[in-house]
Amino acid sequence: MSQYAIMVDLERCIGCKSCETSCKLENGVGEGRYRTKVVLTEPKGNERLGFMSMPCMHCENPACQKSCPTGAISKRYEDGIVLIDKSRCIGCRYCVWACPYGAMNFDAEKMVADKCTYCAHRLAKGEEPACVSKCPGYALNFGKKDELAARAKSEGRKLRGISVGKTNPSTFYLERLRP
Amino acid sequence: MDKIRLSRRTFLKFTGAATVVAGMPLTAKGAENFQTHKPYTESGIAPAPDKVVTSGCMWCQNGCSMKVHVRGGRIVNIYGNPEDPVTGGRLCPKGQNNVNVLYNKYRLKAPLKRVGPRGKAESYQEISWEQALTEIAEKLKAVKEKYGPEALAWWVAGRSESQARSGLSGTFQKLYGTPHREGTGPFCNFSGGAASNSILGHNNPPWTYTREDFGGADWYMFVGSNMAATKPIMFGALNDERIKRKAKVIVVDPRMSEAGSRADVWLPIKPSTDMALALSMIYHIIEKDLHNKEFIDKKVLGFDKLKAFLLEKKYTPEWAEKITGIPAKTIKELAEEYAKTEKAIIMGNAGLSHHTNAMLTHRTFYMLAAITGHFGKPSMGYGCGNNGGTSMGSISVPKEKEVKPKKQRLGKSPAAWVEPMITGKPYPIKAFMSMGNPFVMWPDQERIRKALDHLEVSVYFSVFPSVETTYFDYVLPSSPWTESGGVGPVSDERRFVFNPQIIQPLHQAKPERWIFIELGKKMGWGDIFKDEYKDPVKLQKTMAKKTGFSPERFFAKKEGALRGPLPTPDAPEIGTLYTEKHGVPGKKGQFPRPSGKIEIWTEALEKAFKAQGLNPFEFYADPEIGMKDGLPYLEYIDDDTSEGVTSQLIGKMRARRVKVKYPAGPEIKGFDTYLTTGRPSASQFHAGTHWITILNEQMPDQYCMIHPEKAMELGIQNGDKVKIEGLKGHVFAKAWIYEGIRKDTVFVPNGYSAEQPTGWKSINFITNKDKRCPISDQANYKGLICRVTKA
Repeated sequence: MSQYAIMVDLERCIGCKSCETSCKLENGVGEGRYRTKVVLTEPKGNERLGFMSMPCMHCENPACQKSCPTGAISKRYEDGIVLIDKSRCIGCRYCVWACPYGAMNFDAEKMVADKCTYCAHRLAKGEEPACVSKCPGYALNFGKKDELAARAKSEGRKLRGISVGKTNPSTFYLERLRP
Repeated sequence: MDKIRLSRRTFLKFTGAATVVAGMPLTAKGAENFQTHKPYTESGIAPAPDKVVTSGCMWCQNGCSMKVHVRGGRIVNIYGNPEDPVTGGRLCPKGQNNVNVLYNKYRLKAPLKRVGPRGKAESYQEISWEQALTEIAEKLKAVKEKYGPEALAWWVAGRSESQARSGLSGTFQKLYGTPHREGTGPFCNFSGGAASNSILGHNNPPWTYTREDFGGADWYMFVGSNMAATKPIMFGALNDERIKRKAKVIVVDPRMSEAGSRADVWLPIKPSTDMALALSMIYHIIEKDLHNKEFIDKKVLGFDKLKAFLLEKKYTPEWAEKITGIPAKTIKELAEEYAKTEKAIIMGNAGLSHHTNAMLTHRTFYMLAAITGHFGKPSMGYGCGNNGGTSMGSISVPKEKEVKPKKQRLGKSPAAWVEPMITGKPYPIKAFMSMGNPFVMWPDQERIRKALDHLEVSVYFSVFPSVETTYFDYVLPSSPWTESGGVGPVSDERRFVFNPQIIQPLHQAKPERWIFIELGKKMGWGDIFKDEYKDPVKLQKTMAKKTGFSPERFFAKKEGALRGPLPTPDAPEIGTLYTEKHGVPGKKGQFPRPSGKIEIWTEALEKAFKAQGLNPFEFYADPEIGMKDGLPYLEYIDDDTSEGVTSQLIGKMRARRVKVKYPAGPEIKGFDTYLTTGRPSASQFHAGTHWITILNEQMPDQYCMIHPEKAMELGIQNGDKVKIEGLKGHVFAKAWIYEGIRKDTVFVPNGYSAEQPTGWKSINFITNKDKRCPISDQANYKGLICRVTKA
């Protein structure tokens, strides 16, 4: 198995939120809900204003999967993408509480949990996730996690560790070049 | 990217039975949405397109080419066009959400006529297009008969399709004979083009939005430009280049904008003082003998006059430190770096244009670039965003039918129409047609709302309801973009994208092109407004007879875009302007001023400035800021009802005389804070985007960005409702406590109005329409004073 990932470059993100809307248009995510969200990190002292695009982390050990009483959440063997089988979802929202990254949203209309799939339906056609494809800042990159990380390191970039507990997220972040 | 295999079974399992799956026929859910025009964002995965059409975005001046996905006659999604060298296939939130302009529950559905008092939606009744256009034409004819053709004013707004906006409305104007047709320029960045014309001899910035040109410099300074929000696509590419090539970026802005967040150096300048920064940079460059003497000798006129004036006035970095708040040491470093870096770009925008010193400020930055030799090659120079377009051609009007206006135009800014509407002086405006949102975006909202009562007829063209649909006499639903087809707005770098008509207009909406042709016919000009021009391709063919903007040339390009100037049918597209080789296509010389050189100063220019009471090099601040801080500011000799003088700097129209006043000290008390306004975020574009749920929810509230120390002093917590009181009145906003703003300044975004879904009274209730840049007539939205309290 190869773990696939989105690499988010915090230096390249310009905070335009194109990822939020391209996701919504492609995946039909309604008002007030997000499968990916840009979080602002406000300037403090010498630190610049920052933006953090947060899709699903597609963790190595997904907390959502562990919390699900019906086994509706699984991690796909071939690419490590974490998916919800909505026909098995009973709408209990345990996963929404369990995810430490706030990646799980709840579709109250259909009464099911909903989250980023890395646009699995697009990947199946050989296309990149919608957010990656449209990102004006070239801040989002998709590929095999180890290859992306190796490329970033060869460019002298530092990876930011954000793992909560033992989840070990696949989506990962490149540190800013300066504070 | 590796292709990932995914079995159909697994796929169906996780998407669920109710969602629409790519590659499968539309489900009943999709069909239901087609009936109700519910946006696809609420109905599962976007269906795979059966047709992909190249089109262009209608929002900003980045001018992006896009791929429109169509399925079963309905637009289902929008992606970028990877074959577009400007976008590289990327799109900002607004571009892709053109799809939600179409399928939108708020859209105006039928022509409306006001039959009751203004200010109430109940006062309107649906009428037929036939009735609406017949009545409007009769009223326009009656106004012309009774008051003369000058009594019609027409604001043609920037989001309209270009064939109708700059082509057909111009034809209509010539036949009617009014001088009062204007675009959004005077509220946007007209002053940048005016400054460029006065010094380089042409309006467009030197660069193209490509990685080789705009993206290729080693040093950037953004002054009054939050390009990350206003042109995210080019800024994103530039930021990518910056990281790859380690280019330096400096952002000069009272707040740390999105663009400022990427900068190596952020300089929180005091609002309205950017001209002082540029003057002192020039002073330092001359003092250190870093100016480019060879370039100046060959290509610049008036350098000695500039030098003498700066020395006389002592516009030193130390002087500028006191005015701008930027340390003299930093100014000196900036000036030296700039003079020594060949590939260096300074980019201005509305942060310079929305001031009473707009034109002179832009002009000073042009001078800074000129004396350091920063013109003539790619990746250098100064330019302002939205510096005006390039001629695409027009429908010719036979000489004998053209009505030449007899009276002088009232001013460049449509804000100059308001007093003549109300007072009838110096002569009345009695008919008003608007394609934009004057009741959201124009300054001094209270006064403008009074104007319509004095008119014989007012007509509003729009896609969305907005406040105007409860004030104007007639409301006409126009078709956006793919329904209408035509040409997108021109980009900063003079590029147009052709939009084919992809779907039929929804509801009873009509393309503006159709409306103007039908209205023209009812005015009795059927021989010129021909029915065949309702087809955007046929109209383009006729309009572009003498230029290179023919449909064939558009369609031959994979990005569907052409970059002007294309003065002849076979003129080649030119990249960088003002090079020795190309200069400006269709114009004479590298710099098409009368002398063929960059004109910093000439006798004629001095005379033109002097006629209005100005000097081309003299610094002054905005009136409210000048009064608060004791800085030089303008006193206006003429108002909008007096005769004034004839402008020699922006075409022959009425201009106001002023006097630069040097106050002995502060003249106003009780307003301790500077107020600047501007774009809320990349997801918003003035009023229009607030009607698109997916964009509005990204920045739903009119906020008041305030420094934590100031907020603590006032007892304001994050998210509190605050009252912002200016000299003209007050509005409310939601406090956003933010360290990245000057302690003495608040920022409140524009484009909100009480009638929108989130309902915030526009900040333009406290902006002033009368204190405008005397040369460019630009409104001052960014140099105001206020006091903030917890509401």
